[in-house]
Amino acid sequence: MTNENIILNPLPVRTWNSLKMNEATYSGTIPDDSCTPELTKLPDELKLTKNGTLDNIKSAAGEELSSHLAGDSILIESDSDASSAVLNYDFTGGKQARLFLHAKKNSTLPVSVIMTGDGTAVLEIKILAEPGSTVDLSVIQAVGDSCDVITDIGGTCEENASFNLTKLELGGKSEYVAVSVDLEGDHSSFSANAGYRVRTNQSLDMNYVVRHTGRKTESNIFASGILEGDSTKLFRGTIDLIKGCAGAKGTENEDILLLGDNQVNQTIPLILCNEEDVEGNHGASIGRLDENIIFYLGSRGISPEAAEDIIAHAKLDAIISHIPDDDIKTLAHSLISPEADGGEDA
Amino acid sequence: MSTLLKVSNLNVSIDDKHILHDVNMQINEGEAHVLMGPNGAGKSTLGYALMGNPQYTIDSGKIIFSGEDITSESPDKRAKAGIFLSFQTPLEVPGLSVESFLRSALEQRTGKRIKLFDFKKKLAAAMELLQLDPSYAKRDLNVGFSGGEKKKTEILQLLMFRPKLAILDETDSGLDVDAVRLVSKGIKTYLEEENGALLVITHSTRILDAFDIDKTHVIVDGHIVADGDASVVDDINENGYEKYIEMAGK
Repeated sequence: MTNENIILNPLPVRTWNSLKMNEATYSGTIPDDSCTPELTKLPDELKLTKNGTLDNIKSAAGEELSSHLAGDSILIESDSDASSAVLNYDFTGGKQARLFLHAKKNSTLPVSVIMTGDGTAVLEIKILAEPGSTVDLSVIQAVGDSCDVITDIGGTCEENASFNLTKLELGGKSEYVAVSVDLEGDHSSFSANAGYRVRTNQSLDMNYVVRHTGRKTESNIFASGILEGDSTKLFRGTIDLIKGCAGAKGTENEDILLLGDNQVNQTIPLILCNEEDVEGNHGASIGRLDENIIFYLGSRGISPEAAEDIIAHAKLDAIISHIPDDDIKTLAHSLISPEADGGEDA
Repeated sequence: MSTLLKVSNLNVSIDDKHILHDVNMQINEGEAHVLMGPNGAGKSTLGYALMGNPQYTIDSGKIIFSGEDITSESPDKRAKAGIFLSFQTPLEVPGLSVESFLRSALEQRTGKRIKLFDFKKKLAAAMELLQLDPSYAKRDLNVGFSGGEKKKTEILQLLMFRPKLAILDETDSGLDVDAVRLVSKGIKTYLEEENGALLVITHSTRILDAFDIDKTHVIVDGHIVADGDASVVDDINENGYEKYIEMAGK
């Protein structure tokens, strides 16, 4: 195990140090042991190679993390219209894992990743989407509430390729999420739907970076979540419109529900622009549950505490609706509503 | 018939403004009451006060429901006790589907898990009665609904929750003739199947054709100035509120 201070999630362009948002410092351990996933679903049309890799896919977590990741890896490749693969990673005891996804020309590659277990979890996922291909990646993070979690996702999209990411953050004590996407090919696209529920004593640090280099490329980042008690959350969202990406469009939006009084919520949307014919948008909605909604739901028999919970679930439900695999949708619903299977029938 | 709701000397204010003055009212099980009055008379305030809206302060008086003093109870406890308020302007709740909301509310009201098959069957029947497209069950509660659809969704809740007392605040306002007919049908079904009681707040009379009126109350300037039978509604239709405004000393 390595135990040192590691710089994670650096902003592509630094801002004032006094804001303390330029990067995160991780002071925990990076486990050396590798985590082998349980392959719950692996359709025949997908090819799996142990210890296969992909080169030259950038990371948003930073170089310091990459130097610690040398464990076993898995490469999954698709060259056709594949059905969904599901990988369960159990990080109990503290482990690291590396997953590489390669969608070949005009193929589809739908993959769901479930992260569980009690222990520090470090997961690297790298994606290459060749021309005309589509990668649908769903990552559900549900590790134990006392664990550190680092997820580093990087992808490159070539011409007319799409990368759709659905990310659900449900567990962990200190969590770091890095997502880096290069839209290199013309007409390529990236969409991210990220949902989170950060409870008391938990923290979440996110760094989403999309670089538009291809013409008429499109990105859409939507992060929606709930902060409870004295939780902390930092969202960095960068849309980099690089010279030559004429006709590109990038949008990032955040929607945050605050439950309680002591949260620390930080957001730094960054739109970098070095091309004239482009569009960059950002927006954020942050607030507590409207008193009129609490009264309306109360008048239907729903207590204020239950109203907060219902609205919180509704936010996560909206993110879950983007998961393509119905089994994983059901699993995600059960993870956000563990009480759903209990109780007496009326 | 036994007493369901008894309001005694109720005084209510909002932001230090005294709105309701010594309001008294008694509704027995299965009775249909109408509360009429000119704009700004305090009709909706009474509805909100009975439902426990925290924006309204009860300065004095008592609200007894099913024999229990609920004057200081929270809205959810009043709802669980059997009071329902159909809002004049129903709220939009983005992200919460109609179906999910109704199921959650039913589970909260009963404290028990609701069987999905039974729930869906009941919901489908109620939506059909109100001619609400089944797709609305999946839509976010009241988001993007027309005025008529929002009012129908309120009555849909009435049919699903089956309260002991339904307070209908201007449920027919802004509705076309067909929508009034469907909403009235929903109310009639509730009355027939549940033997529920009604307090209908209105200054129109279109919705009153759906049921027999047991009592009418006229409120002016926060004071109940007259109590009577269905003939009071006819009198107001014919002569307006002038004599009642005079009763209030204006």
